[in-house]
Amino acid sequence: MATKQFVTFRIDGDLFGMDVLRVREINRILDITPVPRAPVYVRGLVNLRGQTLTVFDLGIRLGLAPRPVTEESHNVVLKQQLVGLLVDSIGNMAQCDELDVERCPANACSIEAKFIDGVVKLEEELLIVLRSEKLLEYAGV
Amino acid sequence: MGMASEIVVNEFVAEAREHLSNTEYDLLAMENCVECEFSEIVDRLFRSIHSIKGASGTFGFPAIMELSHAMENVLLLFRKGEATPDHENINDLLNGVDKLKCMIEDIYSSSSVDCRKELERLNAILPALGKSPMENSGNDSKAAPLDPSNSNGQPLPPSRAIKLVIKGRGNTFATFLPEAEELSSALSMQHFVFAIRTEKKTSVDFLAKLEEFGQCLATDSGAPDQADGTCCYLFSTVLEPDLAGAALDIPEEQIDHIAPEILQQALVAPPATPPPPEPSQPPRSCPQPPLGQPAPRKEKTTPPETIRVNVGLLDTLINLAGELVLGRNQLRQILDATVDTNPRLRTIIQNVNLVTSEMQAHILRMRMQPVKNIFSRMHRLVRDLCEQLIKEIELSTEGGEVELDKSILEGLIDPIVHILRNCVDHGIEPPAERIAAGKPAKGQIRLRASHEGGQVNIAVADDGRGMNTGAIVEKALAQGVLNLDEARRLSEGDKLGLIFLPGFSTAIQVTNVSGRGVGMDVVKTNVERFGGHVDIESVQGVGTTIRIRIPLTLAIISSLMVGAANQRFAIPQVNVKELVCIPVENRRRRIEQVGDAVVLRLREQLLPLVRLTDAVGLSPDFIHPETGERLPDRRQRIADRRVNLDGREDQTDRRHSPRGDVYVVVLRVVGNMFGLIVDELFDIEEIVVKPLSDHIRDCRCFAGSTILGDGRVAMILDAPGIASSAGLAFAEVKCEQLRRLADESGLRKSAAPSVSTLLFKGAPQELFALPLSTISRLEKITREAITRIGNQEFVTYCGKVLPLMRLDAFLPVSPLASTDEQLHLIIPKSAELAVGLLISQVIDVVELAVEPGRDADTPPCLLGSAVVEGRITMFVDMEEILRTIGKGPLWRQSSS
Repeated sequence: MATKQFVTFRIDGDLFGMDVLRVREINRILDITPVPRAPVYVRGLVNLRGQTLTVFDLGIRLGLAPRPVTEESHNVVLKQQLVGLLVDSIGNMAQCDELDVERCPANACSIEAKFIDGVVKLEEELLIVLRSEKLLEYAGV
Repeated sequence: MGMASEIVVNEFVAEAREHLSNTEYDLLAMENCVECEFSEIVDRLFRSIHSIKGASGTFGFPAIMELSHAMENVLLLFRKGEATPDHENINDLLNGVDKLKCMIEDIYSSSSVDCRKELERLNAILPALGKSPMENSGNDSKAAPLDPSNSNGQPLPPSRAIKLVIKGRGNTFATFLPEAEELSSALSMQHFVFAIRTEKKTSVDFLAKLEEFGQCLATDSGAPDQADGTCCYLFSTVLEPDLAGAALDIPEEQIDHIAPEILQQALVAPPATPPPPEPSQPPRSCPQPPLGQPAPRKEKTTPPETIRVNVGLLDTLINLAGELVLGRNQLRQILDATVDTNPRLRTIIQNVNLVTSEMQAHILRMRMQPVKNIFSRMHRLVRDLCEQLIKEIELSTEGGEVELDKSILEGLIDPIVHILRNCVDHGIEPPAERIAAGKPAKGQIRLRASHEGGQVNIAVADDGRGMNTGAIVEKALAQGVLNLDEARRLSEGDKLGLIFLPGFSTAIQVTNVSGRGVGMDVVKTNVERFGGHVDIESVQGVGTTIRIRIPLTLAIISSLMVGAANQRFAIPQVNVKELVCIPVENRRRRIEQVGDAVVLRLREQLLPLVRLTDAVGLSPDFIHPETGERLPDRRQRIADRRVNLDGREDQTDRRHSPRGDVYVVVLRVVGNMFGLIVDELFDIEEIVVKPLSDHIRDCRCFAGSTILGDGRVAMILDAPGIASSAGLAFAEVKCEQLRRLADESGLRKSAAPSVSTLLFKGAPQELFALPLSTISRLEKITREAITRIGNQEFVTYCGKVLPLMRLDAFLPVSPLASTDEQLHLIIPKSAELAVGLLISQVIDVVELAVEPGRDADTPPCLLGSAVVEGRITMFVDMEEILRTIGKGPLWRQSSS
């Protein structure tokens, strides 16, 4: 049986997870250059060791309020594209069996269902597993 | 030999592609080359096709081998002069090349490609050749393995020479001492080995030729007293027996093919100790090259060595180089502060600086490719199009050595193809029409690349019928992309520019080749994507030139750094025309509002202005001059002024830079210019362009992003994007400009065509003008010649009495000075009246395009006044004067 590992982080107190295989790194490079006229969820660009990384405000991307940048804020950099997700804080690694990832109950939370891969019941709380490919999807104009 | 490993096959495919692209070019060149180039071209073709054939045979692609073999045979005929590279034959070869390309592209299914037609056509060219005329050439040659001079029967040491005696045709003998290793490697590569005799001492040239087609393993080691000048060579090559002779340009009977078995035997046989018995007949051979002279094998200079590198690897390297440059910049910024504390630091920094710059330059050059690569395929295009459209066109290319970034080069293919299609289809007339127009039947298209500054110019010029701007405008009107009012305001250049509009086509008939109207806007968008520009120039009946200007490379550009709303932006230098600083005291005079647009007066031009903060949607701010803090700027427009409570404008404006000066960056976008108001100006920096992610790409104002020396990211501004997103009312501003020009001149030009006008003087300071067309003659008279009768003056002119008149009698002007002895007479054209106008001096006849201004105060007999050559000049109404004097009783009398 295959186990899965998740990077966990918090938005508005809720615990979210991302498959560790889809995450390139987590950093605190938050000297963000705003990009005028970009979609609202694009917070701006940062310099990731010579590459420009597009930073998404994960709050706005999920349909919540914009994230304030605090001491706890982190950038979760994805592998698939040079995109970082701005989150409130980073949690522990979580691990579970593949089969323990359940389908998301319709009323799980206030975010769009398309971004949610499923939920995992951890000991204390619920982990909402995000779909990175959906987050990266660009609808165009 | 079975299927080779994939890597080797890929290598072969890459090589074959290269060969084929050269082949196409050479085939076309062969069609109209001069005599002396011919053999060179055939040789080159031969080599290309041959190496494809050789390799395909080795790797087991029989179809490719068969087709290339057929092509080779045809080339052989050309070479021998038994067939001419005429249009038909070249066509067949080109078709063969196409098929080969097809096969190469999908190498593993190459055998399933149907090339029977091509084969048939190619083989039809060589009925006379029969089958391989030289196949039997090796039959009577014999070789005896003979003692290698230094061997003892042990396994072959690496550089052992073996002795080989070849009995050739006509009982000739030759003795060779080839290196065993070379011979065996030739055999393992399935090369053919020949013994070749030459009659003359052509050594150097001939050896060069041998090296070109293969390898000379040894020269004859025959008796040194041989004096008849013949020379023998042991030659290994990929060329087959039936081709070797032709390739080397020597008669077949001088070539003997040595069967591989014989060579094999020679290699493995235990060497015999005694030297070979001298053949009864002395071998015809030339003296051995003098001792000490190195084997002539490596005489030919080797071409620079190259290796194939994966493009992805190259791109990574370029990225890394870019990052290194950034790292250096950052390092420099930090170390600059501390460099004085450690003197050794300075030299190290300088060194790192130098090396980094140099490395970057070299790495960038790796991506550069000569324009030739795309020029060469244009020949084929033009040729095929000509065939299709039955036209005669010669395409000449120039500057193929100019290098461009690989990605730009690839992006240029489409635009150039489009332009050429248009040239061939619409530009160049059919032969008959050309002859009728007095041009040679064969049209010319010139494709030229050249460097200009940091940019590359590519020009496509034809000598065709040129563009009819009238027809273009008409079409544009008909298609509704333009209204009449706009059409009237277009300059000739603007009219030509209409063809770049999407969906625009002037072709009366849509042909296969062009005319669907998708061409020229594709050209423009493609070229602009690389930060390039397209210009067009056309003279009807003479030809059209289309110029593409593109930057050398995309990766690193020099940019002007500007600041707005506390952010920094980069503007590519190519777009920046000039920088203008408007001191605060001149602001009110130079910046004004025209309709919706804010404009700047710049050297009598009106330049539309855009605030950078508006364009990118940032809230503008300014620095308060006293407190130094940034405050939001609530003003709607830059031209707005602060108005104090008492209604007067505030003279001291604080915004837009600490001092209140306005910085304007004048940007050039295709055909237009506009000014970008920025808050701060910084240095010009070399920046590395980083692509934008999909999520940002749509915001139009940005061309990319970059990382600055301090590690922050800055956006690169896209001038055309800003222009369009700011909705610049270019047309409106242009219109206003025209109106002002008209106002300033004070005269309505349009109604007044230029007229030859006589300028003359009455009283010393008074200037007059009269159209030359109203004057019959000018005469010179002296004051004594004037006779006065009552109030009327007369002169005798041509035996008749001519009444005189003076201007001050009709106009409120001063009388002539009474001191002038010499006077002039203007005799106006008049059917009824003979009269002379007395003036003091004739000044000049000039071409004038002005119409004198006239108002209610203008007296009769005066058309008005205007400034001519800087002086006020009165335009005399001669008709009115004649009418006036005609009413007097005296005149009626005298005329009767």
